[in-house]
Amino acid sequence: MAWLIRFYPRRWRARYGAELEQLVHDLRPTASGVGLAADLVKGALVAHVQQRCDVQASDRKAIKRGALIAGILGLGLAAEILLTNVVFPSKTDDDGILVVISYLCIFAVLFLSGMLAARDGAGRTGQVLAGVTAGVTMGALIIATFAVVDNFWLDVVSQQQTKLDGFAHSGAASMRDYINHSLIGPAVFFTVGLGTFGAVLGGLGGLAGRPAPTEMEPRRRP
Amino acid sequence: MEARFAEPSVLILASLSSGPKHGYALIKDIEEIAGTTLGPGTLYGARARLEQRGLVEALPAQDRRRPYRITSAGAEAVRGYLETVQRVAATGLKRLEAYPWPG
Repeated sequence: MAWLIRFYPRRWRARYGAELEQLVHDLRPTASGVGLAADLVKGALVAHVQQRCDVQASDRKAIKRGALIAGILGLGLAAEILLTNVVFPSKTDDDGILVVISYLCIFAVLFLSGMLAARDGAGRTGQVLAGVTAGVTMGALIIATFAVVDNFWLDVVSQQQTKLDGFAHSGAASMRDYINHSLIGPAVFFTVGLGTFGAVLGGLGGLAGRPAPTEMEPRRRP
Repeated sequence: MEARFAEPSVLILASLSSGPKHGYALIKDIEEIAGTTLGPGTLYGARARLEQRGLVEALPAQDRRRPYRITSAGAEAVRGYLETVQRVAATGLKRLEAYPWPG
């Protein structure tokens, strides 16, 4: 009779399987076998439906949290972009270390989004979507920051040597046209690219964050 | 015909209101207080949902039998529910008595 417990979802069995098997064992001498079997099958079906609903709710929560974490880091990156381009501008392209640190933070957040999603019971889809959402959110915030900084502080930004060289070889009518045109490529990279990285790293984070079973699987009867 | 109250979650919470119980003790207690027998699948389905909502909590297992107890949130929830049911029942019974049945 207890073999019917194998029809329950794996996660459910890991948590309640041993207890349920013991209960079936305790009830078996007095209860109807057919009644017990029917109730276990019905319970397994309900558990599968319930788990599906729970996963969907966890997926939504994971996606929202991915966007939130990415938003927080995105604001930090926006501040860093503002500081290095406007407040403490440099005419040379000497912020390599800051760029490397920024990318490492971005990748860490993408990984973390998937890992936390898995810890909260989100399915594989939710883990990947949490990473995608985090990536796209950060990408959109970064490119939006560059668009604002480059247009509002054009007089400061246009002093950068890379901008001067690029404008000289671009044939653009003005520095503003050149800068805005040159944002199109990065816009695609930061949104689509980070979204793709988010899918991969969110998925890997999900693998790392899978909760370990807390209970033994029910014993198999010979 | 007597209507059977078959809401497993309420029956479990009501039963746990007298103290922690494991599955078999719960089924037997519910049989006594409500005259209905919950199957093991039904019991554990409801118990899992109650635990997920923080209305009951598991205690350390004794052998392979794990007792559960009602939480303060669970006690508050079932008290509110039962008070509502009690009000509805009292009003319904009073109205039935006062109803002008033909003949």
